[in-house]
Amino acid sequence: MTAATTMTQEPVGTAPDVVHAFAASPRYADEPIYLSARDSGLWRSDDGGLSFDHVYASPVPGRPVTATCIAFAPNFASSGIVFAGAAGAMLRSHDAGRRWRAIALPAPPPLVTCLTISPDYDEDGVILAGTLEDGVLRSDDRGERWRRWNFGLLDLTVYCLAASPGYATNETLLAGTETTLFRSENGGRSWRETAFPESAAPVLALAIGHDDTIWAGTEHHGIWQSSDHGATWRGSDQGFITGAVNELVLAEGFSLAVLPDMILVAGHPEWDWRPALTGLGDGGGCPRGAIAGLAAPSGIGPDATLLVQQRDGLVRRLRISDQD
Amino acid sequence: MSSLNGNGNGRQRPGVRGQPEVGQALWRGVSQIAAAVRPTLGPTSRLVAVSRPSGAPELLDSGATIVRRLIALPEHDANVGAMLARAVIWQTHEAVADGTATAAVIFEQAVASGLRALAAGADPWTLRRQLECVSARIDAELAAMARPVAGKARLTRLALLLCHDPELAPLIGEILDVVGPDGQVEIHAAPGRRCGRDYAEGMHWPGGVVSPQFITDQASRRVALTDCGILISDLDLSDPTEIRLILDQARAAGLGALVITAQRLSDAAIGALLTDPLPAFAVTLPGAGETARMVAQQDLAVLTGGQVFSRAAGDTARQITPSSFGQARIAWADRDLFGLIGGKGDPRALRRHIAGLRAALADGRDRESVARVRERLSKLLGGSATLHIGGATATEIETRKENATRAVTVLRGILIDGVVPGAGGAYLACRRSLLAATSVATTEAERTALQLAIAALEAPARAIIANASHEPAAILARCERAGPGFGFDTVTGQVVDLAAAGLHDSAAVARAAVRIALTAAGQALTIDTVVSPRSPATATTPLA
Repeated sequence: MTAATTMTQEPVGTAPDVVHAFAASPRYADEPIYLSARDSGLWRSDDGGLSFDHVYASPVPGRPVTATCIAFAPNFASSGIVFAGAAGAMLRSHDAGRRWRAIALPAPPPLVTCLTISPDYDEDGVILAGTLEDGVLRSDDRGERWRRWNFGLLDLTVYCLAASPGYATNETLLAGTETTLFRSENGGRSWRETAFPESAAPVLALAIGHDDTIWAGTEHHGIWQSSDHGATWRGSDQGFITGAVNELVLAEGFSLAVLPDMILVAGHPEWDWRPALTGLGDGGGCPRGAIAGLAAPSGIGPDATLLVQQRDGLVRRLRISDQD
Repeated sequence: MSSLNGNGNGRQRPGVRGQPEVGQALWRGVSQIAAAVRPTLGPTSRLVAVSRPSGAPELLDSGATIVRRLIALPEHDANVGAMLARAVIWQTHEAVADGTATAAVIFEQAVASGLRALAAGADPWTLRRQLECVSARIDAELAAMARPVAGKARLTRLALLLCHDPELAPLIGEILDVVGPDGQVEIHAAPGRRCGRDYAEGMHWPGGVVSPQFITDQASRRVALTDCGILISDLDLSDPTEIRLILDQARAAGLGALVITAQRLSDAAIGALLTDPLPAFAVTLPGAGETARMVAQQDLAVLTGGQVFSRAAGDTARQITPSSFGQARIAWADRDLFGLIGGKGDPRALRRHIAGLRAALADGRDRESVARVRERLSKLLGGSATLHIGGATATEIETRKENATRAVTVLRGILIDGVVPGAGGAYLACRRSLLAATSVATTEAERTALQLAIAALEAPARAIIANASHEPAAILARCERAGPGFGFDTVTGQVVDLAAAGLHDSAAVARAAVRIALTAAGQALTIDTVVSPRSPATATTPLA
């Protein structure tokens, strides 16, 4: 990927209600599964987003459960395990998202906003969930039982979580909240605030590179980077990053940032963000046209195919091309 | 050696005594106390037996406990020195809960060297001032030498070195890894032999429901409300109309439940609260004493985002508005305690408040005020840990509790200030720079103070080596030849790289021990005269 990398897009499919998250299985038998978390529950596509099946609505007829976030287990290809956060519950599937079971969370029922699964999930069974007003929930038995672990987490509104690629040895996690960024070095049992500038918060997206560089996407203040475990931060100074950075995806040699109406790309090691694709919303800044999530089932690289789903359900296929 | 237990049989000789008698007696007292605690230094230390009026002697390995058994030396003239040494040990224990024997042997050597210097003509006050300068220099070197410690595995290893209890050490290591240096840790006796730990969310204060009628869950004997408002006050609510007013304001704020903190509620006011459809309960003010209640209210206000209504400020219930209430995700109370989980105050304000408390902790000189600030801080950090200690007998449980308490205190210091090379190696490393400073000292007093400190800093390593039945001089020479950072591992009998071998001491303890010992030595060397007053006449029957 170079500074000349571009993306093209075409609409693929639609959906009837508001989409909150969209994700693809990592290389599932070369036929990726796409899951969409919506107001009406969970939807599943195995035809590249052309059509979706409603795979989870609610245990109570007529009372749909809003699904908010999705996370595929690192061993999904062999286990078929997926987790989804919802309003008041955790959802788990063992068959690649076809059937789901709701798992109770500690009362009062929290609204799950984000999930992160330990890269060493096979061994430790650890999953963490961020919530809107109850801090972080942690399970160490593959999602069966959950409890709140908020020692030192002085802001309980958690928007995003990220696990270090070296989690198996360093147990390091980050939590992005309404007012700052917190760091845990004991697998999420306790937290300490980093030196992330309060004025740049809320933090909506996080990613940690293999060199422990931290990337934080914010609501109004662009993208921030730290190379010293959060002790000091550098903000992106490109004026065009005006919207909320909802997702950050790190790949070999470059990274993507997903905003409501555009996707940015930055090449390594310059880390100079520029628009790769714009106008993905309806062009008028309508919230329902905002990008809800980006799926990259076969990774991100030259000639890769990605899917994005908008909040109004429209799915678009993106192709990355290198124009040297 | 004289018995160290009881008052002895000697009568005090009233009068005024000067040098050289005072110096000699001082030395006798100091050395006896140091000799009593020196065997407890190091990993291959020995026990000290303290005789009792009847029964088996008490076997002790803690310098602070040993000197607590000491009332006075039989030889009264030596008692001045003994009590000075006792004070050094006790001050060190109070400051850092460890390092008492280290402080004692440094004090002993400093006094010995100091008395020789005085006999050679050194001025005691000049020597004292120079000692204070050298002490500050050593403190700075130890601080620079310190390395941070983190992680459950390292904390567990250090806990094992401190408490020598393989069952307790991993529990203590885990607890400190979770709650951190400022978190609340409670240590309780457990039924049975096993030890365990658990964690509680949120914070709690003493002061439960004002009436048992508020208890809704009879099984757990508590009441709990979710997404509730909190009225923070010390008002005396005796009029039911005031309660109705407060409830109306809570409803106007859109609150689905309410907790009222107050100084007192009348029976009529309690009745008004119980009969209202809005779920609510009332608790007595958290905190014992007016100051404690005031700071608890301040903390509650920051935690929940509410206002404090205070009688002292002339506040009344009629001033309460919908925006007055704090909020929390869960509030609970039983007959003795009131607690919150998930306060909804401004996180930025909470962080500033906590930073202020941390600064107060760093500045605190009074041990009691430091303890109060630490308790407030630990409540605000979002949870607490409880360590349950079991044992075969009540005595075993008490001993394990003492060891655990000491280990937790020392580990807190380690998390804050880090570790330095152990086995006396940190002090030996400081000697090198003091030796270099000696050659460029500008005054004789400065040179004397440096030399005194150099000799004193060797004392802990000597004692540790001797306690392991090795010849100190030969071993110390080998350590010197090996270079900085090397010391003697008494378990393996080898001179090792202390950091690589995992032999560490708490930096806070090392710094406190040498600081207290050298400061006390400087003071002791300025004692020129001892006055022994006549003992008053005593009788067991009233005077006629």
